[in-house]
Amino acid sequence: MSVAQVRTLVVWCPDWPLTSSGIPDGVPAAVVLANRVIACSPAARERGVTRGLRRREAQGRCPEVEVIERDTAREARAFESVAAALEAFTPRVEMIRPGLCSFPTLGPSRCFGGDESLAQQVREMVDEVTGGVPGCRIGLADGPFAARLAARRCRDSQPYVVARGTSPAFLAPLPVTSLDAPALTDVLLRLGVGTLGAFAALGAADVAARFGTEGLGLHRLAAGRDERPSDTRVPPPDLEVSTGLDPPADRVDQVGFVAKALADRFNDELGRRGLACSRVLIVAETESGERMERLWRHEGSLGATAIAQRVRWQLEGWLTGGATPTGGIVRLLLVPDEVLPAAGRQLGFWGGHSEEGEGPRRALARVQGLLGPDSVRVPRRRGGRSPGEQVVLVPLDSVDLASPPPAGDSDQPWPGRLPSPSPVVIHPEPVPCEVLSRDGEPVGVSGRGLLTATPARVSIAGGRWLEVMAWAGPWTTDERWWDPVAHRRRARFQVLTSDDAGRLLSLEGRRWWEEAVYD
Amino acid sequence: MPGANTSTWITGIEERRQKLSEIVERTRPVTLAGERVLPVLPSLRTLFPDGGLLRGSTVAVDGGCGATSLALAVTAAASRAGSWVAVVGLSDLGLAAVGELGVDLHRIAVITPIRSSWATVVAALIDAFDLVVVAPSHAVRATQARRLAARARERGTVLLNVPGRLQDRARRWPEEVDLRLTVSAVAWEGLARGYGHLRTRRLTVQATGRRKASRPRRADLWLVDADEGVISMEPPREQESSRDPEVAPLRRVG
Repeated sequence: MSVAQVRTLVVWCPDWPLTSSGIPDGVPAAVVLANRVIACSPAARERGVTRGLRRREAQGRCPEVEVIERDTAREARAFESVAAALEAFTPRVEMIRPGLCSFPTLGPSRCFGGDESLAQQVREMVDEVTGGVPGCRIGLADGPFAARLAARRCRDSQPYVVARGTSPAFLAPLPVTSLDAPALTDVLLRLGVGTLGAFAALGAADVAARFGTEGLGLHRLAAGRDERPSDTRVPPPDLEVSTGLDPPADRVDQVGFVAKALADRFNDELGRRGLACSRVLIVAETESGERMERLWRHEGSLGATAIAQRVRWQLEGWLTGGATPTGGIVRLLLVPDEVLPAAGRQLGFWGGHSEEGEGPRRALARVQGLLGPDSVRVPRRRGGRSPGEQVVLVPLDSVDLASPPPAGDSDQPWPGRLPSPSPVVIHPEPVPCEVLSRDGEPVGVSGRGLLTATPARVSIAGGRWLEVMAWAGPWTTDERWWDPVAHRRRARFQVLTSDDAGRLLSLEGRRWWEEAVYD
Repeated sequence: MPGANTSTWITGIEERRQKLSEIVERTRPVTLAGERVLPVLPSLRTLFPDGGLLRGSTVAVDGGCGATSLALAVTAAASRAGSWVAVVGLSDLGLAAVGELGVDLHRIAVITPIRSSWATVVAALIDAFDLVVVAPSHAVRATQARRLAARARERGTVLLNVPGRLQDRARRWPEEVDLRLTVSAVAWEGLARGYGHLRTRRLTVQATGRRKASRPRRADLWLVDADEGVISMEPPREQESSRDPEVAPLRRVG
């Protein structure tokens, strides 16, 4: 062992997406992203809600569960107060993501009376800031990886401190899945390598031969060493990039666009030298001279999109937090704090990660900034009988555009479904209309599903009378008869009117509606 | 025996070659200097002087009922070839029908604009999308339209203007467009007096425009053939139309 690992303290708030939403204790709640539960409260967990469940399943297991959409901006905003409080201990707080941050303890632990005492004080401080959120976990060990696992092992809010030099022994009995690299751990498990200790015991050369540089990095982690050997660490050259904002920006999304362009430049600059950045210092300055800086760390390397996202997170917390700056932001600076040789990233040729759709995604984010998050919607297939139920528009935020959507119930037979082609225009609210027979009598449907008269004229929303050229129906449906609220009984008709428009009419509770137009 | 094996082997090669040539088609750079054209469905090609949607052009679709379907059918082939489609306005669009017209639903986004920032939003979308379908619910100013068209020309985006609701059909794009498709006649098939269901329709479409497109073109289209999901020039197959119309029976469902 050449260089001693940096003693690191990790503050981890599990279920931060939930904690930051401000749901009171004891209420069953779940945070969903793209229709999957990503965090749930203890009360919900008791009733069988787990991570990875679909929203419907979660609601099925626990009907009173409160479902909240994930909002990373809110999480970042809420975590900013924790980060600000930790700055009382050290200026070098490294943010990893909202809910998780770390700092090296060499100086602070000397100042605050040793590791144990420091960890205790940090816990008290975090408890104070978050209002005693249960489950804030603190781990202290040699190196960030061991510290994170220590934080995970921490119970009853007592900080888990691994004594100096014992990190390899602490890591050895832990399961190999703690590495959080499913592709590798899956193979290891099948090879009969179940613990980090067993993995670390393999020869480094063998691991490199079988699993490449990535495997080697994880092997080093498992052995309680730094992911990269210290001598390959490149001293960061003067590669900081900055940009001025004129006029000063006072909204996060304005800065967000600038940040993306800046991050692109930053990454290009690094890429030209064959480097990638794993830790970046983001500095924002306001017109009145205030300055806000944060260090962001990432296990891999930070891409341009990731950096831009972190700028957003940081500013969300600052601009909307307690100590709001007095002026708009005039300067944004990115400083590479730790760089490493870029291993390169091959974009997927078939499937996998690719740049496809990156441009449209950015444009849609911009439009969302202009119009609000609900103004951009994308279609997702669902099952259903009505034309509007088969494919629904969902807000862009609720789906993950990068991953293919799970197959819904759209392939299932839906008896009583309208035959294709489907109508092109579906009114969000059905339009009232009138249907008369040749004698001018209103047309109705009997309880047995029979017409009282032949439809001859139609007037949509009180408009002029259109002659019915052809028609078919009634196609009756009796949906959700078991549910007194959602129960719908209606008869549908297709009508071809004299203006050559095919229309879908429905009769419900003796009233006629136009549901859709075959435009 | 070896002979038989060889022949199956050869047909296997032919098949694979066929597949490979498809992949070659798909992975070729989209914008070669000479062919800055987005593909359209084969049956629509006669309407386009360049054999497809010329990148950077503005296209308007109007006419009576059927215009919205036609506009979406125009985007179908490009969408399936990998282009993203943005629809601004048309918030009451039936997405099931859009899928049936052959548009890839994973590459379409529907934006509900507000009037004050309409032009900004469309401009932002033109920068990134290959096809932007606009259905303004208000009168667009000529200067705005000109600016958007110029931006589309610069970015190689096709700006497709469709009329909104049936009652707004009189409103036109304020600028002259490169190509205008007009639905002049619609005839539905499949629905009779009391039975059947709307199955397909015959559209007569006229194309006029500037430059190369100045000679009017005309096409008769079937929209949509229920099996193919796309437009075809041929009428639907005989046994289709003679089959008993499907009437959804009354049943208790759920």
